[in-house]
Amino acid sequence: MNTASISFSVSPLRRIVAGLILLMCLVQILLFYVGLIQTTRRIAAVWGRNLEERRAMLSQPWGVFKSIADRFPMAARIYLIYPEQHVHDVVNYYFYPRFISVSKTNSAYRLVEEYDQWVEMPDDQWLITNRYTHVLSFRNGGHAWSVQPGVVREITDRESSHANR
Amino acid sequence: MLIDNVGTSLIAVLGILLPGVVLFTAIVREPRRYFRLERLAYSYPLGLSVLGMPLFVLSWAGVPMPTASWIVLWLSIAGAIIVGILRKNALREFWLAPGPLNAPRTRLSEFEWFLVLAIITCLGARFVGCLLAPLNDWDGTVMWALKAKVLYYNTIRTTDYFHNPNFAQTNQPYPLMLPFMYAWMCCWLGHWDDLGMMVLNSINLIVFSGLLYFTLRKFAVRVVALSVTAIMVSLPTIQWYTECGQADVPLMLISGAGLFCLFDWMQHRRWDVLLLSAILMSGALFTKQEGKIQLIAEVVAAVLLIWVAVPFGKRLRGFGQIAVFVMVALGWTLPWLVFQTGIKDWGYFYSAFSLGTVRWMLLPDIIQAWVGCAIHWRNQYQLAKWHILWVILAACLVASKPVWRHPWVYLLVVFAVHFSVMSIFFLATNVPISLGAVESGFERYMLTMLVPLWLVLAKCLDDLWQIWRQPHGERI
Repeated sequence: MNTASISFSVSPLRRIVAGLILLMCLVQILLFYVGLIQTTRRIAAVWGRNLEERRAMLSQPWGVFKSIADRFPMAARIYLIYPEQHVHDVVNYYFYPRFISVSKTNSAYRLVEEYDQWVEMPDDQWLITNRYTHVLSFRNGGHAWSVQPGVVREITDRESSHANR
Repeated sequence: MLIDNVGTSLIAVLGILLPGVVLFTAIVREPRRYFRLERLAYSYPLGLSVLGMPLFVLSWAGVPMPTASWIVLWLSIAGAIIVGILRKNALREFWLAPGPLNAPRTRLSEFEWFLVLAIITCLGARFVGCLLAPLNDWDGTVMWALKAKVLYYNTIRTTDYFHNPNFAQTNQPYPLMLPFMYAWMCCWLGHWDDLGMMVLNSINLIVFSGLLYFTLRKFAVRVVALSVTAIMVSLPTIQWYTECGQADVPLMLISGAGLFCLFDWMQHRRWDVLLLSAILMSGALFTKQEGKIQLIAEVVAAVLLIWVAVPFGKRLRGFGQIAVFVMVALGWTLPWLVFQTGIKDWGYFYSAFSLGTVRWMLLPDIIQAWVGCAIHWRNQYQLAKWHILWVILAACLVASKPVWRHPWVYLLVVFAVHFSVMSIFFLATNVPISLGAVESGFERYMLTMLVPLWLVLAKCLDDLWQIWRQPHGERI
């Protein structure tokens, strides 16, 4: 495939077409700075900051999820109430290997509409029976509490009503 | 300091490289057909391809990831010793022998220096970006890093991840190459580190850039090889997907390296490159579901080549080689393919997917969406993506005749089949067909689909460069 051995006559039209395409390539190459600037801007934005600041800067709520996850013991079994699709997706990662679930019935949630119809509020007895250690909610600023065997805690109307989301 | 654990990161990367070096040394018969650095560059995707499956099998057997990492490392060292003994004094010659170009070296021109600088700057920026930015991409986190975390803290035997409906939205049946590599990095780093493991992403791009340049350099003049490499490296799409922790750049690297070997086979029908290609294809199958489509595309192109370009009497041997290629690729990935069939798919976009569900009436819509994806300057996140790459590719295909001949046309077949199967896949699912819905998918999938087109583009530009450099009417 030695290109130098190719033999053909070159018409002026072919030279013009070749020149035009090569010129387009030159333009494409000279645009290298566009991608570079996108990258450089991101680097400049996070440069000199510590890891958690960078995490918060690149994706603010995820940094919050991680800082909350870090407060739970590694063996925690957590029930997430009022789950939302994006939140559930991401907390699964940040809380692992802590077990986190949104369903009493082993239901699979994938679509936003499925999350909108979530009505699986647990009572304390069920949580204790199923060895859950904590309940977590990200609504209204977010709050969490531990599940204590022998202490039956009533879930308030506000918490159990899905209508006031 | 950008990397807290430079030493351990280096061990982890060398641990990937070692089995690749062993395999490359054991398989390749004529090292002089590769540039010196190219031999090393091939070892990296080979190492990725060959490491993933033992780690998977050990994890399936209940061996924790740190122990499995040590076992695999010792196996690699044992393999290196055996290959060293068998090769004896030839090892030095194997790795240090000069490459395929015998012409005396010439100095880089000013423009070539500019291209080298552009390539190094883009790769350097990406490298620094990967060292600074922790996971912040939804797919990278939910699809890939979560699986890596499961494999790091658990084993496949002990975790219920693959059957638990709580993780339904994380696409449990997705292949595990990238998660294993992230978990591998974290094992050597000694703790779960979703920043430290990201160093692999930039290495993937650097190695692919090297492999692409060396492959192009074998048939194109230096300025063209550098230009195409610079275009590839500087694409904003590639820049972004290198950092975000998704599996598309690793797939581009592994399946791309496999395609380069297959293209070599298309020209010379050598067993050793076919075997390399098959091992790399097994890596692709374990990296993304899309690897299966890539396998189909490559097999179709290879069969077509044997049918069209090989004399009748030699076809049987050619088909036999393709059969071996498929068997090696599928055989090495078999444990995963068996395990994958048992993972419950909770369905959503891909439920009830079959040829019968193809929405042919949406064909014009998907064509319109693809064209929009290709020519729009920015995506929906206001990020630049392809510039005028697709215009250049279209112009090259129209203006250059050699790419429509053997063996280049078979690269176009690989692209055409891959693209067609991917489009049919979209039409067969219940994914909404619109520019906004398919745009990010198109960007990601195109990274892998573009690989054969990089070679075609280089061939076109090389021809056009020869034409442009000749005075009017002169014969070259």
